[in-house]
Amino acid sequence: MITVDYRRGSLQPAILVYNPNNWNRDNFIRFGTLSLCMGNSARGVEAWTEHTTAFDRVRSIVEALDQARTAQYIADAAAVSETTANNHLKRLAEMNVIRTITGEDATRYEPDPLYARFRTLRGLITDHDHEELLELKGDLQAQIEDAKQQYGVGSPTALREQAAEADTAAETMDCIEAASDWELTRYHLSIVEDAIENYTEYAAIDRGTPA
Amino acid sequence: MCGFDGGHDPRQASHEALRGIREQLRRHPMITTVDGLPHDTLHTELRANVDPSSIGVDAPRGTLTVRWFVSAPTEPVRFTFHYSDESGFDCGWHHHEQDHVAGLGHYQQRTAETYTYEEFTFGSKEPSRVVWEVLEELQTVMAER
Repeated sequence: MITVDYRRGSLQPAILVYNPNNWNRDNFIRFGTLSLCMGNSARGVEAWTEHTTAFDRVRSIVEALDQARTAQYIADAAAVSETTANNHLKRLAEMNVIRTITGEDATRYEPDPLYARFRTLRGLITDHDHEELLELKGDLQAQIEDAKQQYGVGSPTALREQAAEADTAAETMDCIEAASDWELTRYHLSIVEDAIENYTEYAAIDRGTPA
Repeated sequence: MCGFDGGHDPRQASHEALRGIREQLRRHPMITTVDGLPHDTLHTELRANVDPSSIGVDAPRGTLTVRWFVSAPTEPVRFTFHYSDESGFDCGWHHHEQDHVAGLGHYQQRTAETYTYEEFTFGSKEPSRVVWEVLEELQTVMAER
């Protein structure tokens, strides 16, 4: 089915083509310069591909995965072909940015947790001296103490249990956000403590003067 | 070290999602600066300064605040991209529990003292993709005002 329409807010007429059996705003197809007929999700992908390389997109998708995914999934998410995704995933695995999980049905990829942790650690060592890291540790500890006092519980796990018993969605979301922030702050604290404990050695390596 | 066995640490996933979102925001022509809060490197929230004039849109400057929460594998990812500008305009694209519309994805916009809500389906829930989709939505909303 083909419809000519004027999209709300657009300055040009748009040709809308959709499959009535699978209708949603992103099924609009682009014709020539009439790109306003595309849904914002499709236009977002178009803008993304204009401002980034295929490698950038594959890397950005795979580095932020919250579970292991196949090359096909990553290719779709990164708006590249599966062949291109496979080539870039192979390079990223060789660089230890990601790790490979070989399964019975398919190979899956996920971020390498050690690489990710050391990248953050490296940023801290670059941007902070030992005294600043100690101050940062104090700030993070204070944030955790604030959460304990504000919610009256001793751990993020207890706060998530509180979320499960909340009466409204807003209260549930408030507890989930606070528990997530608390957990993330604990993670950040563990990296700062790592940086402080090994500061002398890491800073010497960074300066090119290892002991 | 990370305290999670047998899989990806959701805390690290949240951190890496925000790091990736920051990288994508910096690439978008409408974004002038991105700051991490409460600490620039170890952040739980991002705030991006938005300059619509940089893409030829006549609208006031504003701030896009981003939060991203990864929980257990059995739970959905939750996130908020919330925008407000110098004129008091206030809206957001969120994915989390609420009592106003079906599902988690929604668009909300402030009218007087309250918000109006409508369902919103994200094309992808991978952080990088969400950034570019939301910024397209934001441009549409700005153009319609």
